[in-house]
Amino acid sequence: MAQPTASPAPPSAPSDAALELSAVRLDYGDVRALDGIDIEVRRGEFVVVVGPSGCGKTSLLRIAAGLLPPSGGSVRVLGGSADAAQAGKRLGLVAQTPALLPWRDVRSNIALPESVNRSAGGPAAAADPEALIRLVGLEGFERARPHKLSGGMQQRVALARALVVDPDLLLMDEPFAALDEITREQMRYELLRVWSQAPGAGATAKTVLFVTHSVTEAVALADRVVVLSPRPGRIAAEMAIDLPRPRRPDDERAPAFLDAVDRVRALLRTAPPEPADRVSS
Amino acid sequence: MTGPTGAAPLRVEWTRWGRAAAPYLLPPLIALVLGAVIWEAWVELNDVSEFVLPPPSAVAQALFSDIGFFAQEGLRTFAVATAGLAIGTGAAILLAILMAHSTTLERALLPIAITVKVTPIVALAPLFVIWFGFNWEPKVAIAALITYFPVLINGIVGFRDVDPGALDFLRSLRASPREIFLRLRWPSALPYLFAALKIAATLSLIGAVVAEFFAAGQGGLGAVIDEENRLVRLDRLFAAVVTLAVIGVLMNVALALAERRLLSWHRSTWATPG
Repeated sequence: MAQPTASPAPPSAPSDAALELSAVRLDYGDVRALDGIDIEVRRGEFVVVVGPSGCGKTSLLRIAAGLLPPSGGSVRVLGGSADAAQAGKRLGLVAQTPALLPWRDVRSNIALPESVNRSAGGPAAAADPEALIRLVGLEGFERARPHKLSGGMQQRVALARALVVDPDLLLMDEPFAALDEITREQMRYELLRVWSQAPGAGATAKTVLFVTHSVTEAVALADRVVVLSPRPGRIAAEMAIDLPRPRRPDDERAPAFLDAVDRVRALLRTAPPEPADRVSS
Repeated sequence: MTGPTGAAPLRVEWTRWGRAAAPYLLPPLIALVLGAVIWEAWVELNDVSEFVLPPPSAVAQALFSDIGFFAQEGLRTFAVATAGLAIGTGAAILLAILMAHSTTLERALLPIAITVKVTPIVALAPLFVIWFGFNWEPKVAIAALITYFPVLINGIVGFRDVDPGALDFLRSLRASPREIFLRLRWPSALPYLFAALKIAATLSLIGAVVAEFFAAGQGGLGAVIDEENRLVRLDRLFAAVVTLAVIGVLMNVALALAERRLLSWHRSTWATPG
């Protein structure tokens, strides 16, 4: 479980939180979409936010990426503002659709992040694109245009494209939701392998905030699962997933895995929908 | 390089070009020949006077007996049309970029653009002659004016219709608006711009011909049509129209080839209708 740090850390010590959302709120007009969101993601931690459709998961992720300003609360990304994280090219974004540029081939799509915001300081483009292509298993497809690739391969390109700047925080919005079930299961463990082997991972793996509506996916990937209730999105519960790593597809049949899935399901069920919750003014 | 070795690649090049162009050239040619046959038969069977409708054979004779003249006048019209197309398209793309980035600008400028568009070109043409003189300037201005609208409308949509996920991704890396335009908006708009260009190319010829009606001093197919109409030499009038049609088809073929080359990534060029 996340321990909210009550006492302020000494100013000189770097915070070990990669992402801190406190009391984040989001209103669309007079409809409240997110309310009282407190999430802390430690460096190297893999946190999965799970919740039903329309609970504001995507909005939550876009707030963390600095793409959507929250209506209230505070957002700290990598010890600074989300803007600073963007400017330093320290974020890696993977969305539900691969969102590749169809006129660029695989290699050129992966090189896209290097070609923009060149003034960014820090270890921009630290990763070797060729090594990333091998890492996500796309050797031989370097010159292929996206429309020649399957959905799973397109998401591999999107993953490599996000990793090429060697991001300190990887933000993933239901990246496998549009894939068929077989590919989706395969991609889960591909992601875990990439996560632990990605360049710059070193002693600690990359920090990931991953959003999904699949409970199995959440349990398979996460160090910690955050359960979101719908309308408005609120944190209903958090649960640490203590399953050992590295995890394998066969582990999904283990009693401990199934037990964790059941517990997350139960937390989702007890998270009551609050219909027609409006902002009281 | 010696002769024979130099000639062989050239022939290969031509064969390849012919194979690439054939799907674009053959269907309209066949349709054209079929239309001409029906027309000829109809004129022949009904004994239509040549002062009402000359048969295609007479038109062909008028055309080929004076082919140098029609080619020269056609080139004049083509030059005016292309110059107008370039200026109208360029201005429309610049305006579309501005309007795609600012709803306020779109609201301010689009009504003016529509007003100019709905004003009949025949009403403006005499004015343009007064303003710009009797040389090429008013003709190019009219051709430009008639072409800008489809490019503007498609451009606004095209520059805005970008993959929202790709836009989010670029923004998450703090790509500048200029980078987002060059990497994402411009390529995304190209299919829209090509569709508009094909419409605008045809319109530019109409604009050039209408302009030549009013500023007849410099010739061109519009002036030829106007004069032959007055002299009731319908075979020569139709010969001018055929010349115009050939230019229009060639412009569209050129655009289609360029489109196929530039938009090979876009589903519209994979071309398997039905």
